[in-house]
Amino acid sequence: MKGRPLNLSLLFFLIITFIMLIFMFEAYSTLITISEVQPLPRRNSITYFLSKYTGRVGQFNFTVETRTVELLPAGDYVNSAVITLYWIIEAPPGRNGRNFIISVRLYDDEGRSLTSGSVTVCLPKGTNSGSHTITLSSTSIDDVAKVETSIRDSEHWC
Amino acid sequence: MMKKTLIIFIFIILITTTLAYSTAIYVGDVGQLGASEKTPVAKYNLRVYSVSITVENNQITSITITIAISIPGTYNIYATVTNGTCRAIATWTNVDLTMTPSSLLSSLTPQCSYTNAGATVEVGGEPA
Repeated sequence: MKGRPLNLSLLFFLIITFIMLIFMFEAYSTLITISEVQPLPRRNSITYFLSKYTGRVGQFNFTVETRTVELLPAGDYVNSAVITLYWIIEAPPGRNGRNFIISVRLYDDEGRSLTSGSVTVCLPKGTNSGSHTITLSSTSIDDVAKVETSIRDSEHWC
Repeated sequence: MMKKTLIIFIFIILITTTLAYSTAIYVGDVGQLGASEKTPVAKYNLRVYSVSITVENNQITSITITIAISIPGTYNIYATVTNGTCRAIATWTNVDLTMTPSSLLSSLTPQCSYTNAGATVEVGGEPA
């Protein structure tokens, strides 16, 4: 078992190989540094639908617009929504205005309804704006992917 | 004989090390890139608490949103207002967001009409 000493070319080859490997590992290490990884999105967008209603009964015209939708947070949950409306209502003499049904519904990413609520309000005749609170069942804000409002004529004067 | 044995031994070590390293960096999905399974890369949720539009002469002229984020940081935020075929975009760059809601206001160009049955507002954000 008497081996010959390593010659210079073999030593050179081994040293070069080690240097290349060290640089390669170093390059890999640099690329996967955790601090350079930005947070990834679980949900990076939410859609709101602000509804508008226009209608007419006889000579009386109605315009009701959703101007603001606000989900009221309680920690990471929401349990009510405030909708601010702007309206132009015409009504016959002796009537205060027109009843409308205001609704809000929350959806998840798959389009499934999470919760909903509605309220019937009397919108006084004339041009005006006002806010209305709608109670919802407690829902995690992180589950909400879409918020949709709707305005319907209740077909009654008030 | 000893030289050949040494060379083969070194190459086996190198190949094994390289394979182990390669395997390690391919483990897991994109969500765990650069991290072990015990420390997954953080994922954020954009939280939009309110959307408000300003309407003048039946044109949507500006938008105000109240937003928060589940992972505090600097984000680029956009809001797209769509009504029929009209589409307007507002953007906010390098916004410092926290878990506490904050408001952002921007005018809109073009100014879309606010017609039946309403307007769709999409609010989104990505790390800056």
